[in-house]
Amino acid sequence: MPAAATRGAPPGPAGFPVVGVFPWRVAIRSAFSRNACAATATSWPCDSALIASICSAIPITSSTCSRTTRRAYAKGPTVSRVRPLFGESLTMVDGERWRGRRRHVQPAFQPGLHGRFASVVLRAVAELLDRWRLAGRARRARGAGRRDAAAHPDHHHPGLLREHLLGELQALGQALDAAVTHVDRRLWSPLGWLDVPSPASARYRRALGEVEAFTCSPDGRGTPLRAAARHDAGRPPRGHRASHRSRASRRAQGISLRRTHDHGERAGLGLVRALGASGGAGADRGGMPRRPGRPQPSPGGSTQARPHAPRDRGDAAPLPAHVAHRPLAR
Amino acid sequence: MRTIRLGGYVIPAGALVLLSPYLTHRHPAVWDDPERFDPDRFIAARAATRSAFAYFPFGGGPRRCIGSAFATTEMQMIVATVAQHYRLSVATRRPRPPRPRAHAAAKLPSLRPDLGR
Repeated sequence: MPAAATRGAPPGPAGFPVVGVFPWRVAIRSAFSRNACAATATSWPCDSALIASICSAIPITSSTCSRTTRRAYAKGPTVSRVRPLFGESLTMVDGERWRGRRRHVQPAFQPGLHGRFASVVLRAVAELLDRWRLAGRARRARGAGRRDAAAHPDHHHPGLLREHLLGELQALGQALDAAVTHVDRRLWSPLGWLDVPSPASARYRRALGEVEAFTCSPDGRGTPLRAAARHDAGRPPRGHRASHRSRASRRAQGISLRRTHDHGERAGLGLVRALGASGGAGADRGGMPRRPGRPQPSPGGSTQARPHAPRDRGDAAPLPAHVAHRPLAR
Repeated sequence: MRTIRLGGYVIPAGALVLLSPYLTHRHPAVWDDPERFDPDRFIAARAATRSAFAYFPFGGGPRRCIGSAFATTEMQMIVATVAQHYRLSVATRRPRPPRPRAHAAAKLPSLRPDLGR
């Protein structure tokens, strides 16, 4: 497309929505999207383009680019800012490595498995509704009006799903929230590409370490913290093999875990992290009342281990075995 | 890599093409009365009359979101469960336009609903 198109003259059929033509390396004005949405048939000519960029809303363009352009989703430099969090997982790689990751996780997303996950979703929603109900009572007691769910997105649902799948892992939730918040901040910061030592980056690395330790746990769902709690309570860890007991013992003594280099584990890690991308500790911070009988979070956001109490699932269906007891991405 | 003509536009070789589901999903050339809440527009008979890429929240082609079917199922279950217990109403008539977040370093704009905060 000629980048030097005249302002106000769309470089295409009248009425069709090429909304932006701008050089890649020129700052995008913050009002770009707003203007583009307000006037979907206008062009955004640029005076000089290093690389022409075209924002399109034409279905045929989307179809052609998505189906035939192998490099349509080539990773840009921004990926480097989220790589420490997502590792070399599905969304981070390209080419043959991407194909390998995709093949690896594909079985977990087969439509036939959705039904087995349904009970987990329904229980998480039921718990979310419980929290809404309690919050509604509290609001009514204060004389407050209705709750605007859209204005207060509390991200409870992902956290609840994570709890139902993996157990109530407050420390992991806090670690995930800390890591995701840090990455999000870096993504939108003009200095986000700088990787300088700071208290925030130190917290981020600690959080990553906790997440990494979780994903390295032997049974794919127990955590070092939980294993440590079991160890402290004198109970055997969940794993029955000697190697599991040995590893849990080492973790309880604060010995660092190995880093996984297994592709399958790394790919699965992305899913676990996505499930925990928000919620958990964030939900606790949101001021929502917790279900009666459930422990209150410690005021200081402590990451101390505590014994894992079996969840009161009432008459809910048992957790699907495939989801609950196997690594998610296998 | 070569220059192509697509949808009436010349796409130069090496150009970066940004696909905007937000715009496509709201464009009057693709949808009748796009801002109206009309769930019937997704019934099979009406969906068959338009391009598969008129609605592509999960992308398409080989890179289509791997969790699209699962996410759709999950959303249906959540909406159905919430609707059984709550009557939802519009909290405010104030328009909530998308609020772009963009920065030179990030290169690309991202739209998020303006929740008045």
